[in-house]
Amino acid sequence: MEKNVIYILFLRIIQSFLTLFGLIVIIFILSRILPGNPAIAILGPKATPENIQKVISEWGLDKSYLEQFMIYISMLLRGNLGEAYVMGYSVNKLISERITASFELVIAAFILSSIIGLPLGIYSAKNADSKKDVLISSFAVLGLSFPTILTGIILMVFFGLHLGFPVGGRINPIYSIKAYTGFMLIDTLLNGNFSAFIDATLRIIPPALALAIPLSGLLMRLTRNSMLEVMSQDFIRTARMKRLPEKIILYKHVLRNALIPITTVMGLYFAVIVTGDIIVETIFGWPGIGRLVYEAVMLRDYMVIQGTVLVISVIYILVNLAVDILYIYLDPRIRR
Amino acid sequence: MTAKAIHSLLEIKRIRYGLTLFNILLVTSLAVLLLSPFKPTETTYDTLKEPLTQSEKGWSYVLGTDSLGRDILTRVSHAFFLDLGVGLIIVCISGAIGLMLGIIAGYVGGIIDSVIMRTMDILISIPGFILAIAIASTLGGNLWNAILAISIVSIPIYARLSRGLTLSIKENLFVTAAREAGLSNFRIMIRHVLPHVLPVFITQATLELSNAILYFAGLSFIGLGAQEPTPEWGLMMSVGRKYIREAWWFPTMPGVFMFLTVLSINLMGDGIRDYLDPKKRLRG
Repeated sequence: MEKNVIYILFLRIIQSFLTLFGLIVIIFILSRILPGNPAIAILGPKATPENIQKVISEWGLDKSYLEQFMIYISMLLRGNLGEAYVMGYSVNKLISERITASFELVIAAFILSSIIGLPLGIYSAKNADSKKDVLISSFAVLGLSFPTILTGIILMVFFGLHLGFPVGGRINPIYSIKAYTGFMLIDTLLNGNFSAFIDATLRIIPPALALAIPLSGLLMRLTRNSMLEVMSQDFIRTARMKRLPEKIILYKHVLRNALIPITTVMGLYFAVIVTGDIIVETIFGWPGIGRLVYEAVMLRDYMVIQGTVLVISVIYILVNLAVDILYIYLDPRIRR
Repeated sequence: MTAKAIHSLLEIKRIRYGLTLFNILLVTSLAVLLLSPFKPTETTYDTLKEPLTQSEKGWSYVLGTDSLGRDILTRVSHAFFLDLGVGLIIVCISGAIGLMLGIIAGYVGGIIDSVIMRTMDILISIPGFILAIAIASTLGGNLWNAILAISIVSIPIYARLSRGLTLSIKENLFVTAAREAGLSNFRIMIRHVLPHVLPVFITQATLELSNAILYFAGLSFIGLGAQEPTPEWGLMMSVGRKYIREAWWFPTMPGVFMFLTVLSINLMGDGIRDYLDPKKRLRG
């Protein structure tokens, strides 16, 4: 039995590596079919003869494609994403500066969507096919159909103009916050600056909510359907027959089993977050990796676009791997 | 028989609501397109006018004007046809390629199956929007490249779906019979497998249409899709975002139109899926 689990894990990890390799191949091919000389495309407006020569020797652009690919792979293995010629600095520096801001936003959105989606789903399943259920389910469908761009703009108008919240960016620049963790909400507390903490909290709510609304709809629907599925099974009938209190049945028997299938779609969940993140960060001026993609597109800095695409995809592949491992851990039936 | 099928389709509430909403949008856009005295790209001095402001041309600016004095209702209506058309083109391109790859992979099997499906696995394990950004930025940001990028990204969904269906159809007696009768593989795929794949495929395509529209608007929003002065929802919101303090209607109205369109398509798609699912049909 144990051996089986290790075998499944092994296969799954190999699969992730293959995917990773495929991803690198795709990005490499894309960078070489750039119209015209790749060096000029990489350099953008900074394409002076010396610079072009430098890029050609750095990336081996005068060698064969196979050699170019090897150079590319060895750069990546050393963790080097290249030089951002238009935006300045190295791509690594740009991404590592921005990525914690995105993590903070995504985690906040995740927590918010759980707070909204899970209870609504449980409530809906408890009152299945009643009017309340239909109402909540319709809201879930609406939330899912709402384009993130529109949600972002509406929340910006609502929070910024109607409620007078400070919106845009992570924190008011008048506060000087010493960075310990890179997470603004924690850093402000560690600095003991309470008014800065409130400012940062108010600023994170609208973008996090914009990300959380479609997620809540998704989570609510999943929770509801998954719970209804479990409720119709024999062991629940047995539990009812034993006259266990309804609360214990609902939370200990139904919810625990219903959460397992929900974890499997977390990967899908994450794809929704990534797509939304770029748009939400652009709207709210959130200095994360999504905003970096937008800025790079605007400035036509190809190396930055390539680097961020690679990093985001790698995170996505890792998240999916983690979810699958978690699933093996959670569901004893797979282990056999 | 078709009439009966259409009738029973219309009995599903969601299809009826979706179709009604879609028709309202279509008729409104068509009417504005034909009757409006404003041109979608013609600039005037009436910049950032509030909704329902009277204009010199006799019509009022029903949804206000944008930063260059263009009537938003006219632009949004033009964008309806542009975005819907783009969505349909994307679904057709990616659907046709995906369908073909899926049927070949499922029917032929062996190494061809492995090669096609492993490629699809890789494509599907990169977030679609991110890959679309990578492709579109490589090719250069314009409308056609965005269409191409989103089409490539959407192929795997159709390929997986039609492969799965083909695998089960292949086991049927009529396929064996056709093979025994000496029909060529190509003919069997086209005449005997394809018709059975199509119904489920079309359902998926309907649902993907709204995704294609959202992706396209998203690409335009970050500057990789349609370019100024093309009337396009994502682009209008991207420009309008900067005027959010002075003119909330400028970025919001295209978004509302896009939302209603996507909602109507989703409703229809969900309804068709319910119609094809016998379990749900029995429940009503």
